[in-house]
Amino acid sequence: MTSCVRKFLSSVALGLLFFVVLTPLGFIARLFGRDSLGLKPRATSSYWIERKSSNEAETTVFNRQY
Amino acid sequence: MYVLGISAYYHDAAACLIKDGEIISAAQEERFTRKKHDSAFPANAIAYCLTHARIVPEQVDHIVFYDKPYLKFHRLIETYLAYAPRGFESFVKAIPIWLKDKLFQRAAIIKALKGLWGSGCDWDQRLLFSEHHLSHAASAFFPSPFERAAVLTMDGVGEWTTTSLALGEGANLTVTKEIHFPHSLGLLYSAMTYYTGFKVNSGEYKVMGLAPYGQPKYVKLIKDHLIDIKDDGSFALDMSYFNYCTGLTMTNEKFDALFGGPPRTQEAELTQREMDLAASIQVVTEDVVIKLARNIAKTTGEKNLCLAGGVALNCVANGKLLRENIFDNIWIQPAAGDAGGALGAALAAYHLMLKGPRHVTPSRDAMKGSYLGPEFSSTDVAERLAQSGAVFSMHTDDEITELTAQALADGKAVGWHCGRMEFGPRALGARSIIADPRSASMQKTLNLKVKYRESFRPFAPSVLREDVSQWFEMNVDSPYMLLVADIVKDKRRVMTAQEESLFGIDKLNVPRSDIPAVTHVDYSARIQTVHSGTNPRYHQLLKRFKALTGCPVLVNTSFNVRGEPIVSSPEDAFRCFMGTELDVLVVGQAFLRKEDQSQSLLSDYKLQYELD
Repeated sequence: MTSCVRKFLSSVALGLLFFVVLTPLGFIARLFGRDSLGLKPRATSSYWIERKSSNEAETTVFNRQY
Repeated sequence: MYVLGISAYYHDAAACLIKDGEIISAAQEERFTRKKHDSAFPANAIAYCLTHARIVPEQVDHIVFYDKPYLKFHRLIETYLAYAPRGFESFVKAIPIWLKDKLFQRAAIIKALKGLWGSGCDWDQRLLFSEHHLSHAASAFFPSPFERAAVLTMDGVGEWTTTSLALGEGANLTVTKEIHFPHSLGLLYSAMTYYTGFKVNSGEYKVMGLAPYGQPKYVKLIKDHLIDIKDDGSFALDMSYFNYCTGLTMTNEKFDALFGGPPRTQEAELTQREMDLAASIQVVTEDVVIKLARNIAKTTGEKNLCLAGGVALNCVANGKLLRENIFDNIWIQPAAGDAGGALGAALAAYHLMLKGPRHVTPSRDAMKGSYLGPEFSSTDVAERLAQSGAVFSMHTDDEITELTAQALADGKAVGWHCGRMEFGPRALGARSIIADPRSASMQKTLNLKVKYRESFRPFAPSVLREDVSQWFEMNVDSPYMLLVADIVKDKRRVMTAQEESLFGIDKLNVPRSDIPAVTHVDYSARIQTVHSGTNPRYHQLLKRFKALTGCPVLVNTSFNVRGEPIVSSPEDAFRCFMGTELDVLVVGQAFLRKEDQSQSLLSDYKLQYELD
């Protein structure tokens, strides 16, 4: 990627992406009670999150970047 | 079968090579590039691993990266979603980097591998990705001396996870519970590190060292406002006090208001307030770690605990945990930070994906003393030193022991470069500066003339394993300097009220034990036990020093100056020797005295590295 493209990205596209796409999306998500970071006070006796056991083969898991 | 683990692009880049599950070599990139905490692709460390194993790249069956870039990106986007329209400043900085590099980590790694190894092989086919905390957990469990154990990992953050519990049995390891970003014990500690005016990611050690000077008077404030700790030790932070999700600083104005002032600037004088803050965050950290451990012991029924992740480098908390006797045995990965992720990633892939068997030797871990880095043959050392213009004499191991022990007993500061370099953040008697701990002035001399810093932390002691309980209130192995314990009572000196009332470094400079150079103001010491099985030469040296002086303890501090990575090659060692006021240098079987060296090679070294 050329430096010119990067410059463009950082000025206009990033602003659009953040304020036109992310901000409304985040706003709507929060309106519907989404709290993926656990920012709201939680009535719970433990903050541990159980990890679901997966049935996937380890080979699959180790091969991917997610 | 060879598996290469890599950690890179965030903190300490490193590489580790395992052969059929045996750890054969590991090193951090910073040691080769001489750039502290170098996070670049670890080309030099990888090259070293292969050279040491005498293999060609095609023989590496798998390359395992230590974390999962897409999961990290997901966390980043979720964070912006949760906070937008706040966070634009951080967004503008982070997103271009992700779009340019980090989203294409697979391609970046392949490209780097091709640059290093050529295109003779389809590296893409061999590249794997482990998860950040799985890598930490694997580095804590697989090399441990336990057949089965509970594994607790705690750090700043990986992808989502900041704390995890895993259960290990034989060659199996399963993560069962996690705590997710932004709720992080590591980041809470880093936030206080930032607020007290130290560098995040390296200054945490200083906060821990500062804590004994303070009173934990902010504990209640921290627990009432910053962190909610449940009975099982799990916790959540009140993020309205922190700025690390969206901003470029760790804390915000609300945090300042809570503690009554802005963060200390790096140049500003340290006051009692910073010491009290340090003592407080240390107490909170210990409380959380102990509560977590108690609940883990209760719910899993395990007798052994393994630790890794950056928080496991908090040796004061580790020492407290040990004294609580919650578990029968505790084992801590020496490279508990991200460098150790390389080792864990390789082991995780080998045991979990490739189903490689695991062989446990009871009461001996598989880290080989963490002496996993480069070593240099006698001829090589002689050649390298001669080329550097050094004046030296070559001796047998026994002669070196005798000469060095004598020099130490005469109060000389010695650079000790012997055998394979340590993997992880600590010098453990392979790349160490060593000295007599009995001297009242040694602490000051070493700091001012060798390390070029003024330190409120004392040095760490190396002690013969067989003698540890006669000098320290502890009787377990601590080969990696990860446990803190007190000096035994009969070696202490009681302070007068006047001495007690001294402040800061003046207080530290009052001798308070028979080994003042390694005794902190609260009589604690960060102990390294030395074992004949893993470092026979260093063990022999301590034995000889004990025969001469009656003291089986030496000062051990890393062989570098402030801000510089620990020395790796003989040339690094000679350069550091000539740039500082070290009196004697030992490199393998070579012995060097400062007064024999050419004056023209003396250099002013301290200005080459920035403050750490």
